[in-house]
Amino acid sequence: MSEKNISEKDMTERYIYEVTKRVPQNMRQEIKLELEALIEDMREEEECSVEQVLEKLGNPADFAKRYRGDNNYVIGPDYYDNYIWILKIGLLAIGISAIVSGIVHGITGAGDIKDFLKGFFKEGLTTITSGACAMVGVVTIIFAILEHYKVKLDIKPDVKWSPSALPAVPDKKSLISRADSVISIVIMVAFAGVLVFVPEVFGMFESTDDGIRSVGCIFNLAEWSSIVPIFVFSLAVCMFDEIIRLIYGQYCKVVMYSSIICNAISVVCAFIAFKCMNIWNPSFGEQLKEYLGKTEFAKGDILRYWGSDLISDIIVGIICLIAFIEAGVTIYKTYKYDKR
Amino acid sequence: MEKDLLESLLSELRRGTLILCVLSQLGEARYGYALVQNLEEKGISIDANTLYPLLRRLEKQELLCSEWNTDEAKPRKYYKRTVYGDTIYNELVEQWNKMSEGMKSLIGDDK
Repeated sequence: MSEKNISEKDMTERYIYEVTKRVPQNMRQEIKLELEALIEDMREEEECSVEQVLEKLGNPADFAKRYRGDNNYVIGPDYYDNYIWILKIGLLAIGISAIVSGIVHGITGAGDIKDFLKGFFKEGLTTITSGACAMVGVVTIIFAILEHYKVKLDIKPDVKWSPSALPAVPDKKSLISRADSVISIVIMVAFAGVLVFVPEVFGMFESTDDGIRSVGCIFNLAEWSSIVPIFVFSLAVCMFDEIIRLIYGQYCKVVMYSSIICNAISVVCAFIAFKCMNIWNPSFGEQLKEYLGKTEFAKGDILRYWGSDLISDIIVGIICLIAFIEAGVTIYKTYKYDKR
Repeated sequence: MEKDLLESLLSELRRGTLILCVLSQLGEARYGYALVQNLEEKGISIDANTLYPLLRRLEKQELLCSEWNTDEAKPRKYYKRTVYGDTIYNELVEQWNKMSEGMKSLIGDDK
């Protein structure tokens, strides 16, 4: 690129062009005239060549940057908090969808557990890598545009603060473990995936020479399509509760209300699923007897009560108990530690 | 490393005083390069690539106004303090005096 013997006039022109092409259109003409006069003045006053003058003026790109008065941020401090916040939520969503799509692909290609894992990891990892890259890219571009045009933005609105209104430093015991919430969400998504796509894993299997064979499923697969939406809805509600916990990070009124409402909904869902619908496979007991070669289950064996309400009652009872304990602990901790 | 640090601290120190330096000389109309020379004579050095954008910024903030003089061979843009610029300048001078007195009492007597 570098040519020797460029005339001083050309050199001046090139320098000015390099500056002005980097500044807004409406400033160009004036800056051009200003710089022409400046370079000429400096050359005369300091009795040096144009080249020396330009070297003194420095890199035209830097000069233009000063004229534009902008900074080096893609995303500046004004946007940083919101940017990170959105990224976290986005990554969480991608993580969840990666697990779901992993499960779906694992199942559709599944012959045995090895195929399932292969499909699961292959699809899960693909979704997580491509999804995360795309999400980070899109979010970054949006925020860079906002930064460029200085759009006012407040996704997490700051309440006007005053020293006397500062919330108390949270008690360590009032903090909700993020890891717990994340693990819960992952487990729930995985569980929902299994219930929707492979409910037959809840059952008895036998190992034969051709691979693993199902002996019988505990669920009533014939009516499964009308039962499963209740489970999925219930898990979605629980997941919503966990996301609220994740966002707030400590026991407070919002977390408490969410916990009460979500647990109540889960209990209602459990009641509907286990008490009002034919959730159990009525012939599971018989299938098992046949497999085990028994004519009758021993007294005390839970399978003896298959088909009676006992199992449903126990499960609904356990779900109620868990919901009650969870909501209770949340209410207790909120009143004990939430000082706002 | 130490030299770099000193250099960056010095430039930070200068940056804070730059606007006051520029405003002080623009009670009468001057063009950019004349202002560079004017400040240099008084021992304040400022690069043209810092000054020119700064003048535009101060004009945008309505502390300075400008006019092109096309009477001479080279057209030049002359800058001058506005009335608002005068008010701000006087306020800054007052603050500067207070600050420099304070600074003197902090570090001036140590010698």
